[in-house]
Amino acid sequence: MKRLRLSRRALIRGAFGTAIALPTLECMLSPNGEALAGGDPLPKRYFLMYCPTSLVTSGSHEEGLTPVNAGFGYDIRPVLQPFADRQVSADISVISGLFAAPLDVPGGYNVDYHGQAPYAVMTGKRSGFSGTTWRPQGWSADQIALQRLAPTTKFPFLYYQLDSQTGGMVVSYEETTGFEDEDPIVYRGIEPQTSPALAYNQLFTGFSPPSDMPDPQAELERRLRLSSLSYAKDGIGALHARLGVNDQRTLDEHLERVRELEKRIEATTGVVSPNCHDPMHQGVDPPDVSTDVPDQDARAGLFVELVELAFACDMTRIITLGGASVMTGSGMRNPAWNHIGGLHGEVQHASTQADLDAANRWFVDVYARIIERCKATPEGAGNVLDNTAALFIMEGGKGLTADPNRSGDGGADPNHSGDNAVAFLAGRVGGLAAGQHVNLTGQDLHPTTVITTAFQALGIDPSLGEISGVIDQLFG
Amino acid sequence: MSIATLAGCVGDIGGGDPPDPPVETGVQGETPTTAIPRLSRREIDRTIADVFGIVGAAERNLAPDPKTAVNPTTTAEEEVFDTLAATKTPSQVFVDGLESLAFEVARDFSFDTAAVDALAGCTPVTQPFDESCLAAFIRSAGGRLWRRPLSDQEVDALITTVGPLASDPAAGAAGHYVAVRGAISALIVSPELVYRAEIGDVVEPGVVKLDNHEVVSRLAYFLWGTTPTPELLERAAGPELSDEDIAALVDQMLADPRGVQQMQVFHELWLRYTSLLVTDAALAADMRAETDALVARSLASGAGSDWSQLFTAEETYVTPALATHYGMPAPAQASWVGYDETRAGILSHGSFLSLSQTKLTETLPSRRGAMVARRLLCQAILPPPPDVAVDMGVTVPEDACKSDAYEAHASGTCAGCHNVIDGVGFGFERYDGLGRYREVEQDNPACGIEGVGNVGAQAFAGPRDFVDQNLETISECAVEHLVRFATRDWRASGDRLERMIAAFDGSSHDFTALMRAVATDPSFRHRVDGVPQ
Repeated sequence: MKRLRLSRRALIRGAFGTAIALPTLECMLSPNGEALAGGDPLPKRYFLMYCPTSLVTSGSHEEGLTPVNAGFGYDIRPVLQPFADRQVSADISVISGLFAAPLDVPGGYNVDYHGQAPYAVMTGKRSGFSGTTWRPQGWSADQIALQRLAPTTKFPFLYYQLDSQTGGMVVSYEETTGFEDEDPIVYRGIEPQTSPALAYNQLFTGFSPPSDMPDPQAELERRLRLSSLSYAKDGIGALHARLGVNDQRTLDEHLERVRELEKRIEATTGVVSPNCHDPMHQGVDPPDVSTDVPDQDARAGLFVELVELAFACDMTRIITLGGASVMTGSGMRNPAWNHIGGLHGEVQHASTQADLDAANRWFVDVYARIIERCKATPEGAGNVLDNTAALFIMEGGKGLTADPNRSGDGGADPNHSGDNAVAFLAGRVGGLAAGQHVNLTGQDLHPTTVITTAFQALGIDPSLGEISGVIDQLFG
Repeated sequence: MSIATLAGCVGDIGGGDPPDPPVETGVQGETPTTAIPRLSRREIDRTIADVFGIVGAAERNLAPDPKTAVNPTTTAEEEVFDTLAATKTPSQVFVDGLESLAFEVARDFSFDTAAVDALAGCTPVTQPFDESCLAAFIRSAGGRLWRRPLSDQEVDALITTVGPLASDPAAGAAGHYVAVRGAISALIVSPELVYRAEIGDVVEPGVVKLDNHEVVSRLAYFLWGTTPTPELLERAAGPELSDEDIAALVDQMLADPRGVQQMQVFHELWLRYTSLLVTDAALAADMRAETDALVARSLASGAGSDWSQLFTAEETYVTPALATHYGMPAPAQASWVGYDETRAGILSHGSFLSLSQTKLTETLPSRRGAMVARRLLCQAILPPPPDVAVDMGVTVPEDACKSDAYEAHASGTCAGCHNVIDGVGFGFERYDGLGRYREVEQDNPACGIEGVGNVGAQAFAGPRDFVDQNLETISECAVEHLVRFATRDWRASGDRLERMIAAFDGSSHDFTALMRAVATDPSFRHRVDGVPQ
């Protein structure tokens, strides 16, 4: 679906040599502003931010996030302060009392909390009971959303990660062919983009808003890139023929990625929001503030802007933003908590609840910034957030007792628990009634149910793996 | 040690020609490896810098290689070298980054028309592009990037692909250099750059012998971390390299400054002292300089050289500030200063002692012990039972002594692992997370620190004692790590390892001799290929 629309930005740039934000022209929209002039509906978008922490630190049963009051206009606990600061609490629903069981049940995980629980939540499939451990057992939520929404955007999906550390377990998975010593079909983690500079390059290299005025230089660069990839494909074919089966599979995968990139370069960029523009980022990542301590605020700021613009420019409709990879990446360092140490071992396990609350507030603020930006990005008669389901999923909740049937790792640590978990769902797509606290304590609803509720709002099948259903209270 | 293959001993008995002599491949019993090991980001960076003079392009465009990975055999998360082939999946992020890198390098280098002409050895004389000059450029740059001569077919195909770009309206009078830009980009995104193909010839079932260019490439990336020079490629284009030829090439390459630099890179990746967790930038810089000086000294080759002083050195290179930090007499300026009787070598450096994921300056003996056991003793620390929350650490009750809490913790299902790693960690406990000596616990000064640990049944107290008792194991472990680094595999085979250890011992721990032994071993010219080609 290629849409050529009148770009006011291009017209204004041509007339005055500068670009300024403009309201959407009426001719871009249907008469009621709820669809594009060509009749295409406004895009629906899925966004998920994954926070690699629990609610409580080791030994603690108190936390500063979950609102006390249920219903609309919930109280702002200390960790949620960014919602108030950025005036987005009315746009975000908080869902508490969720439960992922450390049992062989739908969406359950097998004892090892870090190893299996995120896989279970992100796939909706029980994890660690059969097949290869340390492997997800199904597609992740973003890939299922991709399959069901089937957008024809330049990027089928984007997967970014705030922390720069690579390795460890990620939160986006795809199906692939197993090597000869594996099952025929396995699921592997998708590598996240951890560099905001590279993410910018990926989105905006060769970018120009659709225009009636041709850009010869941009067209030449597009030809250059496509010709290089064409030659690379021929090279892959020649090398492929000389290799054994496993190596051929590696090249098959490489070829698939090249083709994907080729499609993106060939695609045109649609402009949905008048906010769509090239943010002109620098070509380098913010330098670390000290050895192995990234400037996380600066990095997050760049990712936040790219998420907004990728949606505003309709480059993609599906984005996952990981906080840090599970396990390895959970040693995430941040100037905000570097005086304590790494996020996992020191902040979550060996520090105070106040320290963990402060770290959680940092992640909540990143989410709040994205909601704030999407809300401020006009689209049709409303804004991007109106057409988005934006999730915030945490790795864990809080155990209340040493119950091996409710907490992982034998139940000894409330930190290692998928019990009493909290998630956020923002946006108003599909009739979501944002701005309420829905307390589900006692119902043992799986955290994945919040994701399937987002699916429902997006108009796609509300199921993921073994989990299905909708939290009705989240709709108006 | 010469090993004949079983396959070489099997043949027809009786008439006919006598069987071929056994092939000495050095890879008997080893596991299959990929025929297309992918270069690490560091290696791509060096390659681009060497060919185009553009520094840091890979670092700007590619994600770093993982520092840890889950070993599928043990399911344990292990520290890995950036060369490990198993971590190199062709993700979308990688392919996108490679194309972005190609775009940047092609754009920047092609704008420098003098540099383009110099690399090609010609200046274009026809419009919109000079085909013969473009071909010369492709052969020159491509040969370096792909580490082999390009075939006529490959060159012609590339000219056919990028030649039309020269006539693009936006190219103007710079048509030739636009075609060059396209050629550079295509050469970089081609699989031939990032996948260092080792297809070779089958010399016995399941074993291939690398051809000249493949051998020279292996040597260059192992000994230098970058692409072969034109001189090496020229040599590779000649007659088949004999053992003597390879030994001569290895000596020549190790004598090059790039050889010393690569040995330093290996030590950084193995011991990881570049990632020291010290928040005081000035102190961190002093610690890094201290360790760099010792590593450089231990890697010096020739008479009197001794790599083991990396661990046994009785003096250290300190600034006045660092000496004061350690509680040593401060020199007037940065210089080598003698240790007291408990410290020795790098294990006493703040850089290394800060690496055990300490909480501020306080140590976590289990983690420090596990680090030392893995990196220096090559002990496999398997993951804990699934019902153990390993990352909780050991909780020390208020007013309790740390050692008592750890002792109590090391019981039941935890005992097996903690008796190993805590034993090692507590031997270093008199040194805090910044390398300072102490005799009482930081959080509870009423508790004295005994500072005695153990490796197996052998007790030790402090870095010097540890090294005195375990130097042989440490040196063997260094060999094992180097072979992993070189082979890009999870583990080194026993036979190959024994040969390298013998060579290292025989050289009185000259690290250059060890590098030479790895590169000249028959196994370095062969590869086990598990799947028929």
